[in-house]
Amino acid sequence: MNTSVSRLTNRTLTAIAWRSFFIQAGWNFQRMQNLGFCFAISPVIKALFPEPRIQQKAIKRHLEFFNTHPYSASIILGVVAKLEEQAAQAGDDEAREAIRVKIGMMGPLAALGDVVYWAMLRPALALIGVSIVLFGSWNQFWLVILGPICFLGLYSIAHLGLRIGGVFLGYNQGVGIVKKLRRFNPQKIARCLSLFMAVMLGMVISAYPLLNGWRIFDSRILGVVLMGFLVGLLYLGLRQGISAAWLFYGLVGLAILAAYAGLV
Amino acid sequence: MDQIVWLSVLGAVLALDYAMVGQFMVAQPLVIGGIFGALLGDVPNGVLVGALIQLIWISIMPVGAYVPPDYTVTGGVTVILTLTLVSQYGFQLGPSMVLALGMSIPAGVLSGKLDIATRHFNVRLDQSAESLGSKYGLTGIAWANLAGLGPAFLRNFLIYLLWLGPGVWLAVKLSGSLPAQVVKGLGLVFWIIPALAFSVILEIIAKDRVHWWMVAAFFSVGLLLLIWPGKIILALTTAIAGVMVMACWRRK
Amino acid sequence: MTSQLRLVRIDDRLIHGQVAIGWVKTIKIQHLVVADDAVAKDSMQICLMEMATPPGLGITICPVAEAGSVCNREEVDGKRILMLFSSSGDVCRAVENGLFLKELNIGGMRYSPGKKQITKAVAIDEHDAEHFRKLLGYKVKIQIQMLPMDEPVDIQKYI
Repeated sequence: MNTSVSRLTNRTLTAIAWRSFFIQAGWNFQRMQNLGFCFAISPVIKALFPEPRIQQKAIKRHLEFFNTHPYSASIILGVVAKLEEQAAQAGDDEAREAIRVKIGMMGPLAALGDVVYWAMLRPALALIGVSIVLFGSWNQFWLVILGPICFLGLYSIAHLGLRIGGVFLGYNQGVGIVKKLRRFNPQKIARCLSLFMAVMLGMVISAYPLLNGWRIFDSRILGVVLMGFLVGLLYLGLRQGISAAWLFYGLVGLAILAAYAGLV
Repeated sequence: MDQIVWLSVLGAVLALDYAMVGQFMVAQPLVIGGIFGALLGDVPNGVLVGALIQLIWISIMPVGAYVPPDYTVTGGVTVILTLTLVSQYGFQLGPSMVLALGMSIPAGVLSGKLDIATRHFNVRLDQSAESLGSKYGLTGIAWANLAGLGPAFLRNFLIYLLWLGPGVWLAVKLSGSLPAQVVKGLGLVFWIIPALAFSVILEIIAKDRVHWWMVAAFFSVGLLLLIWPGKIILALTTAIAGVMVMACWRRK
Repeated sequence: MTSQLRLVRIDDRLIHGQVAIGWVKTIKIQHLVVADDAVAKDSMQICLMEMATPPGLGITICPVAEAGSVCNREEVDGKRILMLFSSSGDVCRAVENGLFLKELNIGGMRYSPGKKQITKAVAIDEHDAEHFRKLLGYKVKIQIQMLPMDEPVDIQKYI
């Protein structure tokens, strides 16, 4: 046991958390987040390997290919910090275990971030925020402001919790974090959020035409039917692989034709 | 002119949040609409325009090495164009927004394409990193990483500049010379945009086989609102949906 | 009834977002098979793979040599399968051990010094090229395709 190696301090971990916000700054098509990871783990390298020759080795091994979700990278950074520390204390300057764990975790943790944050949490919270704006009578200043604030506030809790908490959690738990993550079951969270979105979507589809007074032949029910019909039609378009942008242009063209034909 | 330049600088800085730095979501159209709205003196319309754009591209995400068009840039440019048309030239909100969005979609596509190009360019940073690392140690790595922000900022700055300079001029010219029917058509699209957005969300959840919940919510909320059109029903439904998430989470 | 092998993919990050969101939902996968020697004997990696498996899907983790026989197991009977390998050498070995393969998808092969970057997410070296030529010899169609929405690119022009 090499006792001259100090333990990592909370300050070092805070520095990692702060640097993790820049993990995608140097993103490149060759080794992807490698620059960002090496940048974020730098405080650890600096604290554990003051000797230039060994420091160079550490830099080199953390410049290898790395790519995961930018949020869940924090957990990996924490775990790697722990393993690097253990390696340094054992006088091992290769830290093979740290690299093995780092490579093993990047794929599955990318799935966690992509499935929970990108695919579900962001759309679900955006839907809440947008609903507040659409239905909160949008000429009232505070009601409108509430939309973005709600979205950003709720999202930030989940985001910063993982971003900053992840580093500390990863460091304190070490490789054991993997078992905790499995019990936490991110895939199930995604599924529950999908249920939430389904209910919200059903709600807004009928509420939007009704609260905005869509009428056909003076019937509010037909207004809702028109809305449902439009959503179904556009959905079929999306299913055919037409992008939302082209559907938008298509709608513009059709609406102008309808205006010329005197339908509106 | 000065205003165009500093709006472009701000837009390009905020756009870094989308994929390069932070991912705080401040570049999302809903939020950026509020920011540009505050700067241009019309927060409610800025947020409304942002919200509609947010809704259309709600599911766009960069998974792994996949780089989609950058609709945060589309959002920012649309908000600024729309608010300029509405508050400085007195055009109607609906048609102006649709026209602005139609003009700004290519900006997002261009930004996405250039994003791919800059990520290819960044390969050089990676290639120089090892020598920088051996020469300057960890400082060298920091510079190599942060240098990636330069091209990303520049690309979005130029896109904003292009769309806010000649773009505003073109939008004003167009808005002033469009026939009444076209304006009417554009105004109609403004009211239909949510339908497009809802179909996008439907596509997300359709893959998870929860669509019967959607149908149930559609009919029950619709029925309640026909009987009594109070917005409190929406708040209650949202709360019920929240409780359902909890229940789903508890279930084995 | 036998199971259907819907997609066999080389992806050195194994299960991640592109697989869990992109492929699984688009081609309606019901079971994942991870064929990798290192993962099969590493409890941490197994745990990670289970965490990353989308709900409602089964997962089997096996050594490369058993990849061919896995489709006959009871747990995958009648299921639509996505099989993941982490390297070209593993696929070759699996085919030689009796995996019947018609098509091979290449998702991600990470760059490391000495390899040649051929597309955004794929870098290969001479060994990989050798393995692919061998597989082409077994009449396997090999295509590079990161996500279902991408255009597949044939490997032949790169090797």
